[in-house]
Amino acid sequence: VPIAPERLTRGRGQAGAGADQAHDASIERPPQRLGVLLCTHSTFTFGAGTASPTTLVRRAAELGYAALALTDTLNVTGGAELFQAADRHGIQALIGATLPVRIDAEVFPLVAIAASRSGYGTLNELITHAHAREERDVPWPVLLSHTHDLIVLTGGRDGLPAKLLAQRRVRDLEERMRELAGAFPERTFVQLFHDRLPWDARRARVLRRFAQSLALPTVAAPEVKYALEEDYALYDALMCARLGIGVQQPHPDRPRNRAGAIPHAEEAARRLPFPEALLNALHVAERASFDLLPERLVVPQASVPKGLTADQHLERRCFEALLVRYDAATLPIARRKLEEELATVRALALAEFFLVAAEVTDYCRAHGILAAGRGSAAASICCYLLGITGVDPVKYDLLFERFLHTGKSAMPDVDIDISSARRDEVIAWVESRFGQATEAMVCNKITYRLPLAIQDLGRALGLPPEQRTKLSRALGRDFRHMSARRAREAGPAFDEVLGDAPAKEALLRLLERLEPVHPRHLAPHSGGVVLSREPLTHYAPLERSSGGIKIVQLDKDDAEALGLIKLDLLGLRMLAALERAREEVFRLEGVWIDLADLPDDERVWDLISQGATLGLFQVESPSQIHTSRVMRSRTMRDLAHQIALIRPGPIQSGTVHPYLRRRQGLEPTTFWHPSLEAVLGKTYGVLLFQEDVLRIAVHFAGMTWTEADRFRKKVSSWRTVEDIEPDRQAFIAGALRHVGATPEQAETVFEAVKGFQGFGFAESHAWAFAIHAYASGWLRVHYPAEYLAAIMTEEPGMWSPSTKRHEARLWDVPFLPIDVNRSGVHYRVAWARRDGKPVKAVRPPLCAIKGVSEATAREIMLDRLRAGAFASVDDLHARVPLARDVTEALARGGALDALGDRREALFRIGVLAGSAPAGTAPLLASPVPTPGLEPLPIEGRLVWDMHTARFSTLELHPIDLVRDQLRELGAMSLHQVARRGRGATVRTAGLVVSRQKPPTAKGFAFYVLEDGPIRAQLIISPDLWTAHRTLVRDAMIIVADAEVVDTGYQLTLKATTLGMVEGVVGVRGYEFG
Amino acid sequence: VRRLMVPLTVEPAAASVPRRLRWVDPKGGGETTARVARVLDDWDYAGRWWEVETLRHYLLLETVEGHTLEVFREGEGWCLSRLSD
Repeated sequence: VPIAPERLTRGRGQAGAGADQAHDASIERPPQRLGVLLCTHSTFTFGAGTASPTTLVRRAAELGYAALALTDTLNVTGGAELFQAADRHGIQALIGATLPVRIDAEVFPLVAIAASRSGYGTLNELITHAHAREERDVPWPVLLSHTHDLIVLTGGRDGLPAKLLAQRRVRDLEERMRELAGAFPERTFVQLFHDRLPWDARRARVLRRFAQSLALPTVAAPEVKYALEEDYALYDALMCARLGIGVQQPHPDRPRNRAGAIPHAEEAARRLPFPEALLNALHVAERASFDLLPERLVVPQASVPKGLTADQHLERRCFEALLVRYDAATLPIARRKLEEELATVRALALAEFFLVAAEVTDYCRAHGILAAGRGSAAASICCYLLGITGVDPVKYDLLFERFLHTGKSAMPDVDIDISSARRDEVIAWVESRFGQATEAMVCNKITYRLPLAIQDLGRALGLPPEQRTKLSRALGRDFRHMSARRAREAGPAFDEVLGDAPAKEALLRLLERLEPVHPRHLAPHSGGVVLSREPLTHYAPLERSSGGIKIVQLDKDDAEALGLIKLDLLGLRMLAALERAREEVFRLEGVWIDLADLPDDERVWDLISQGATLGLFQVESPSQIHTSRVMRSRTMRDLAHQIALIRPGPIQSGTVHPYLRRRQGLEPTTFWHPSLEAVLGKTYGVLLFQEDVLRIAVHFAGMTWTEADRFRKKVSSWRTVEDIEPDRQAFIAGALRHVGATPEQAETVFEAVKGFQGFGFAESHAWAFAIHAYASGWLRVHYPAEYLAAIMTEEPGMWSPSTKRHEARLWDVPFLPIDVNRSGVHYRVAWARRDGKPVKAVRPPLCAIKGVSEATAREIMLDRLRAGAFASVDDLHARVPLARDVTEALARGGALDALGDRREALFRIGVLAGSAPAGTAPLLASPVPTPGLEPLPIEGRLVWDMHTARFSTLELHPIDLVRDQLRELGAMSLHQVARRGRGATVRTAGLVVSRQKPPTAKGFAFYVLEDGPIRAQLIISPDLWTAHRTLVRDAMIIVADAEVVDTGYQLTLKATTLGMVEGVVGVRGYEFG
Repeated sequence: VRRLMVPLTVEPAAASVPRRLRWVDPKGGGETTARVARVLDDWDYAGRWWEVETLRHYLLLETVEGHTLEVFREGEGWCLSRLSD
């Protein structure tokens, strides 16, 4: 029972610190310090909190607090981190939230703290309710009807008592407080605070007397908004950014001093010297003691036939499929593997999880949606037999233990790739199947990277938008991915844009104080869906993203920490492209292609071996094109290895070159120890997959799968040698004991494993991707026009529409112009004639033009179907109600070329805009004749095309517009360079269509220059990069002196000098690093 | 209430709450001395961090003579900001 003030104090308080130290004899020693922080905001009160839950907990522990309640505004996203940090720092965590409560037209913050796990659910329901309202608040009656196991504090300076007392609305306040205390009996506390503002001491005494008059308990709860006083400036700047004002502009919500920091416990008690209020803080902490983080995962509820358990149903489905999928030769091995897996699934009680994942892929199959599991799940025979994945783990000898083993405590990871064009359909079905309340997407915490932080904090400091944008751009590849805290390392960019402006230093100081992972807002995860047995509000609140997607306030790690299992339903553009290409083939040829059962085709392997892989799944990057030519993959295994090879893990561990040399027979395959031949035999003795690390840990160092799993995670994420030293010792001791390795051998293997840092593929994942890659190659070989139309529409991969359009020349697929009388909504294949023969060509859609939506394109198509082709611009204007800017975009983009020249069309549109509204025929013909305008030359058409559609159907390339200038500079075309041999020194130029500076490349950058259908990868050394930082950031067309390193489908050049030529039009190409 | 903003000399010099104050009235007149009877209130102010940050600790004091003074400390210096007499 809380301690009411009348039990502890005599008479009224007096002015001055320490005036209310008088206390009841029942309290032997009144507290001299505040023991608990009950009202604390973290970075999850977006724009009004600067410290992470971990930072707050660390500081609270340093200052000797026993407990900390996180009470972010309408948010509990910091909950999991809070409890984990509190566990590490040895203090108690409490979870609550600040709720803006609406009473009529007024809104007051109220702090609600969960007294139990079910009280936490009540809190989540209230927050969910608020997020469902446009006003983002909790109506008073809703609060009073959601009271189960919640403790409420009446709020600080803007809280109900403080506000109404200041307005002398005592009767009104009394009525509300009685209602509140009636709804939350013995759980309503009048919050006392002191913000070191004028008359705060008196305000606290008045509040206390008011509480006394209603026999309500008080509680000392200063409002904490940041950890340290030094964070006050950042708090103020973020608040300004949130309010949309500059720092020069006053606002009542802005802080007036540094009192938002965690106070020293003694100072807090001195400011709020009320023994019962200090004791009640401890009392609240005692009552709200529970652990948010459970010990086990809860699986969603699958659809199981009556009379069967989930385990039985799973077994039945798997064994039925086993007989279909395996022949007599492989059946015994497959059966044994299945039985082992099922035993593991039973032991972990995960049968329903597998069945739920199968329900999703069953739905996709039944509705013709391409879907396939990826990741470690592809090593599971259960997943294969249930149709979740398409990879046979028996045939390819995949390791199930990477996915699941009985010692695994973490969530099993099932990722399902779904055709991106139809993923929303699948998610809508999942929502209807599992219910609104039990399904949602997990969220991503969108954190401040340097450009975003510059935008928000720069705005607060009064930097104009164009200057902020200029600064963000000036960061370039070198700095833009940096955490904001490292802003000073980007000093050259700040100097370039801000010079000596005083705002520069202020901005840098703010950036440096941001948390390393400082969330700005929540956004939906790319595909993570959580399904639960009970309403999701048991775990966290739900809200809608700005795009209308329902999300739960947990990211994937928090969801797992709270016991939820996530299913990743990822939209994969390549699957949409394969689906679209298949439909186009069926439309034109009447052939339905079974993408899951494509024949092995020499022509596909020839294509891949030549490195002609632009547009193919996973093997189209410049480095993959190069690897294709070296590896000359001829089997699915080769392809899976190729896909896995060019990843940070293998690159950083030095795997790539030994693998390629050994494969080519340029060096012998050796093993660090004979026992490793069984593990690394198929990868030429080098580490390629995550499974290799696991297998080495088990078979070489004698670890259990559980130990090996933990070891794998450790070696992929270690930071310091000290971090990993215990693992090194255990590994070496294990290897000596288990396989009799020498210390030197064990050390060598450990060093190799340790080097396998960063992202590497699971073998099962590589196989899953190899299947899609082969399918893309097969369609490219057999149906290039259909495949090209599909990848132009769905835009998978890294290349711009312009590059693909020029690549089409090598594929021998012509492009037809965009035409208002022939184009539709998507890229389609149409029959054309070339040299008198029919040929398949690609017709771009109307909505390829910027500003023309799919809806508009449909409207035009429908009218065309209804009333025939458009005869003129006037006819189009009279028949379709198009906005003037849309019609102008159509004209600029060349869609009206068939009706006349672009300039004339634009003139006509202007005239018609002044006569009758679009979509209505004028009573009289327009009296204004079209003057004889000079037709737009082909160069102009190219520029307009590039501006409106990002590509042109003309044969001209943007580099052609500066060809004369390049000749004067002595730069040969890439076509001419291609005829030179390796080792030649050339001066050449090209349009920059890709810029990569991967962190694994030791400072080297890889640009792709394009000239028509010819492309060259330009290698830029770190020295050259540093010397030309601005040029490589801004250049549209690069002129380089270079050495020819490789020729063929893709040239490779090593730059020795760099220059640039002003281009007329550029390409917004792929950028990485 | 008069707004003064004049430098103060306080005694004891290092005290967080002074006992005696001295200042010179900017509108003529000589040095004035006041003895502090009690502290009525205190508060903090921070501002203009984007230039040179101002951090002040304010005291509202009642003098033995019954006047009310608003003074603040900024760094090592003291200032009389307002006087109610």
